Parts: sequence; structure tokens; C-alpha cells
Amino acid sequence: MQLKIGHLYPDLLDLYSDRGNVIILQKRAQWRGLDVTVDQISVGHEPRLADYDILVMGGGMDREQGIVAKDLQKRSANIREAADGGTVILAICGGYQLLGHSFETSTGQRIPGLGILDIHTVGAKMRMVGNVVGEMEIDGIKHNLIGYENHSGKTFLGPDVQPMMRVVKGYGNSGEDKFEGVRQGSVFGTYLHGPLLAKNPFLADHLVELALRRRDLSVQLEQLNDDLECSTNEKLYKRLVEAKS
Amino acid sequence: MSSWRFRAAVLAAKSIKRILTLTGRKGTTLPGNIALRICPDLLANYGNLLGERIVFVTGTNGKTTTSNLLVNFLRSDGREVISNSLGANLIAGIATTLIEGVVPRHAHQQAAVLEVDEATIGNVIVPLRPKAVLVTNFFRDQMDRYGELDTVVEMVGSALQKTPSSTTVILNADDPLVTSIAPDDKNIVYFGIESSQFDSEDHAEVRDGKFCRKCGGNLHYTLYHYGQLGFYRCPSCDFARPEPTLAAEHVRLHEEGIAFEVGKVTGFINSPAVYNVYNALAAITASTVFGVQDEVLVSEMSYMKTQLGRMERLYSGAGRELMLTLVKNPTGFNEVLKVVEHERNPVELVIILNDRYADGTDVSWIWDTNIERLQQVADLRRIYCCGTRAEDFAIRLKYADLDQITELVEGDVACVDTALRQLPPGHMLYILSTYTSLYAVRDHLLEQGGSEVAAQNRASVSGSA
Ligand SMILES: [Zn+2]
Repeated sequence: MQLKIGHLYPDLLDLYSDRGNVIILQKRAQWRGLDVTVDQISVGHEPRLADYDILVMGGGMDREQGIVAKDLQKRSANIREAADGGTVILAICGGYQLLGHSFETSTGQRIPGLGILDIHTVGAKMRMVGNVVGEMEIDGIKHNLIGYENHSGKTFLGPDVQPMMRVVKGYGNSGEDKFEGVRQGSVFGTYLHGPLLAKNPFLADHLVELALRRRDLSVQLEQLNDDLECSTNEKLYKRLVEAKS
Repeated sequence: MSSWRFRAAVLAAKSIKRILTLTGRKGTTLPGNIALRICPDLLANYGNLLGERIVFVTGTNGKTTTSNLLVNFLRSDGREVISNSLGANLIAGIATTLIEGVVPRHAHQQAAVLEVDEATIGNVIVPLRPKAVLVTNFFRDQMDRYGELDTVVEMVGSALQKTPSSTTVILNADDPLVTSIAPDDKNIVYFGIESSQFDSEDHAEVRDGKFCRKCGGNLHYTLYHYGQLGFYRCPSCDFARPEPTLAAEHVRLHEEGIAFEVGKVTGFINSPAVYNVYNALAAITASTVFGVQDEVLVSEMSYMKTQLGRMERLYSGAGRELMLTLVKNPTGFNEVLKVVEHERNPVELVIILNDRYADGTDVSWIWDTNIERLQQVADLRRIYCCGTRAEDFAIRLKYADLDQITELVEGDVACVDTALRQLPPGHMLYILSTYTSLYAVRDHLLEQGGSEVAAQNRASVSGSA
């Protein structure tokens, strides 16, 4: 079986080592015998995005994000087609913000986003920085997520999105409502680096499964040996949550 | 005037320092903090006392090595030099260093080489009025502290705009991020590498500074040294690599280090990492600004020794050869990997990854390293991981298909001991450590009877301490 991954703007949105997510998705699929391709998609290269199973997007510096914001407007219909068709989209940090309705800078300037996610972001003075522990439910099972956030934008959710996780430790979307990340259909957005999937293999597998089920509803990924990832997750959970409370 | 305040501040700081020392603490920042509170213009007083005999060294990588090389050059030239060699490079650390080091009665004979944090330089440049400010390079690093790289470059840039007209600004010509902040109407001296065995035409490792900071254009390169350092120009405006005033040519591996030519003089540094050539060039350039005598400089350049834990070659107590080096960001890490690849002997690795404040609390950066390259290294038998985030590194190795040779060990010092015990004959051990374990491991190795590798040509550090 094939898995087609598109890495959006790897040269521009490469700030917090989020390319790790692409490596992890690719490896985990390959270890299960899937035939994986990874395409790098940036300015000047406009393939049909609905042809991809998974699209991954990271965060960048303000300057680079400005370039991407402009370029994304040209792909609006293209991305919407992909999202509507069930392509899994994982957007981190700056990429997350760009998929929302808008980003309002601290000086009051309003940068339009794609509106794929029903969120909007407002720039704030204080940076929200540090380790994050979140609690996320996947197929009825509760998981602890471990990541790292570093953002000054506060993201507020509209009625069409669901929060991705409840914040156990850290700030999350806005630092106000104890939620972090969102999901809307097959589109996921979050502030978490780490990279996100490194210590949360259950989430990586969930994304791959969702993507494959677009074509074959019966897909069930075989279990890999994730002892290292799971014990690391547990150890950090203990350190970050239990030790301090 | 506030001279009584100044004296009171210095007195208070010194007695606090004494108490701290008695109770076995280092006290590299608290005395300065207190003194600054008593006398807010403390630094301006030191600026006056030291006249134009202060150098600042700032930038992402190489601050410590550059500062220490420069201190050696100046001391060999017979000068009395104060420095914050313990890396206390925030305002309180700088104040503490000056309080301890400056002797007002003969301050006119003293000079200060100060390593200054990128976020601090803007606050100390006006009161201290340095004779020279040296900027090594900019790479993404510890974004938990500073925010993104552009912000850091901007901070140093606006500090340079504030330099007095008597200051010489010394910049790395090969780093477009550094040259982009060259201040207008100031004295600028550039250093750079003109030709090198390590050059490549591969742009894959340029992660920072791909774009012209003047106009946003995509920079064109004809040559890469490492990271974004190389021969660049902007196709859309006049931004381009300036001609270096002091240039190294024919940079090449030589014995256990790197040799290069500056004009007719041959320099040698006992470390095989090309970034140390830049550190050497920076220190040499600053020495010329300070008028260090030619014969002193020539003799110093013939054998330069890198600093504690910066690609430092050591012997263990049992006589095993090892290399100890600080790693803190992907660019530096990737340069170390290149050295490992070129190593003649088979190698084993210890990687110490901590996430304490001084290390940077975000360890995501390890995913930006080209650790996959280790797959190509023949005879690489073991990679030991330890530190507060050892498991994070082990996961990184797993996704680079190196899990078969990965071993987790609890405790930094214990891990190094284990690795040394199991090191096969003829193998060499490379220890890569984040900041907070570096000196503990080094101290431990020396306590166990280890030693520094002696200079082959001559003793490297002459002059007084
Ligand atoms: Zn330009």
C-alpha cells in the first residue's frame, strides 16, 4: 500500500525542527511495509494537494511566514479540496495559525489566513514557552501527550473546531482555557514541537490510519515496538506533572 | 557624582563574594547584581577606568574559544587581562568580573576581554565603550530564551548602531547574518576564509540566513564553508560578502588539527573542526586592532589550543584517547559529525543531552541534526546516551536506524566511565555534551588521572595567568 506525504514549505517553515514529524511518519509507515513517498512542496511548485494522504506544515520566522501567507492564498482552493477529501493535514505553530481565519499582530495589523480551521489568533506580548503535557482521547482511549510550546500568539477557537487536547501542564492555545490544538475533520493544528510525534507515537499512527482509511476503511496498522517512546513519555509525564503537583 | 556609591557598591560586592566563596559557592553573578543595585552606573565607572581597553565578543557559537584565544594573545604581549572566562556573560556576570578584576590604581594597565550575551550587549555597550566589538556568527540556538533568530540578530545590530565612533567593529565576512548588521559610518574590520579544503557546493546545510536581510531576495552562493557561511551575494540588491581585511587561505587538515595561512604566516589550531579557524581568525583580528606585536602574534599563531571542552583532545586515566566537545545547536553538532566522519581511528560516541536552563529547555533541535550520516561511519560500534533527556536522543537515533548500537546509561559521569571501560583497543571516544555536564565530565576525567594532550610544537599558553 502507498502513503504519499507532502511536506509544505520545508525551506521556509523550518524553525523548530518540525521536519522530525515527517521523518517519524515516514519511518513508522515504512517499518510496516508501506510504500512511502515524501514530496517537498514550496513556492513555485503547485501539485494537486488532494493527491496526498498526509500534508505536514511547520512554523517559521515572521519574515518567512509572511512569504508563506502570501503563497498560501494562491493554493486556497487546492488545500480546501484536499481537506474536504480527507487528506490528513498536520500544521504546527506558525502553520497552525496560517490555517485559521486570521492573525492579528500586536500592532493591530490583520494578516488573513486560509480559514480551513475555525480559529483566529491574536499576537500578545508575553511568550508562552515550555514543556507541555496534554491529555488526548483517540478512539475512546486516553493518552498523555508530551510536547514543547514557544509562541506569543493566542489562538481562540470557533464552534466548528474541537480542541485536540486538554492541557495538564503548560499554556496551550491561549493560556486561558486549558485547551491545546484543534481538530476539524482531518485537519489538525497545534503549537506543540518536540517534534510533536517523537514521544507520542499513538498520534503518529492515528494520523497514518486516518489517511489510509480514506481509501480502505478496514485498515488497521500493526503494532510496532514503541517501548522506548512510551517509557520516555511516562518518565517525562512523571517529571513534569507528578513531581511538581 | 556617585563615586562614593561606586566604592560602596564594589565593597558590598566583594564582601558578598567572600562569603559565597567561604560557603563553597562560585558567586559569578550575585555580587554584580547587588553592586548594580547600589550603583546603577557601575559599568560606566569601569568604562572610564579601563579607557579604551575593552573588547566584547558576541555571537551564537565560538564566544568562549575566541575570548580565550584573545586573552592568551594579549597576555603573551605582556598585558594584564581581565576576562569572564567562566562564561558569566549576562550583565551581572560582567559586573562581577569587573569588580573582581579591575584594580583602580593601575586600571590604566589593564585590559578586559568580555564575552557578552547577545541579549545583553545592548545594555552594556554604551556605559563600557569597548575599543572593539567582535561578532562571531549567528545560528538558531535556544529559542526558548531569545525567540527567533531574527530577533537576536536585530538586538545585536541595534547595539552596534550605538557604538561610540572610537569603536572598531570586527565582523565575520562569511556570515550574511553578521554582515547584514554592519553599522553605518563606523570602523569595520572583516575576517573570513578565502580558500579551504572543507569547501562545498552543497547548500543542504544552510538553514539560517537563506534570505537577504536587506531586501528579502534569495541569496546566491558560489561556495559554502559550513552552515550559511560562505561566498554569498544577493541578486536583487547590492548586499554581498565583503572582502575580508584578514583572510585565511589554504585551510587544511594537518596532523591532529587544522593549518592555514594568513598572508605569509602559518597558523595552526589543535582542533579538527573548521569553526575553530573562524574563532582563531576573530582573535587574531582583534589582536591587530589592539596593536599586539607582530612577533608575539606570529609565535602564538603557530600553535593555538582550543579551550576546555571545545573539541578538546584528552587522555583518560588509562591512557585512552578522547575528544570532548560542547554541543548546543544543530550547526555545531553537524560540524562535530563531520569531524567524526574524518576521524582515522574507529570511534564510539557518548551523547549527553540535558534540558536545564543553561542548556536550553527545548531539545527539539536534535531533529535538525544530520545524525543519519553516522550510518556511513565504519566500525561505529556504540552510541551511549545519557543526561536529563537521554531518551529523547535515543528516539532520534531510533528514527535514524541507529537503535541497534544505542545504549542508554543513567548519569553523565557514570556513562562516560562505562563507555571508557568498554572501549575496544584502538578505538577513540568522542564525548558530545550540552553545557551543564561539560565541565563536570571534564573535571571527572582529570580527577581519574586523565590529562590534556600536550602541545607538540611548544607550550601554548605562555605569559602570566
Ligand atoms: Zn538583497
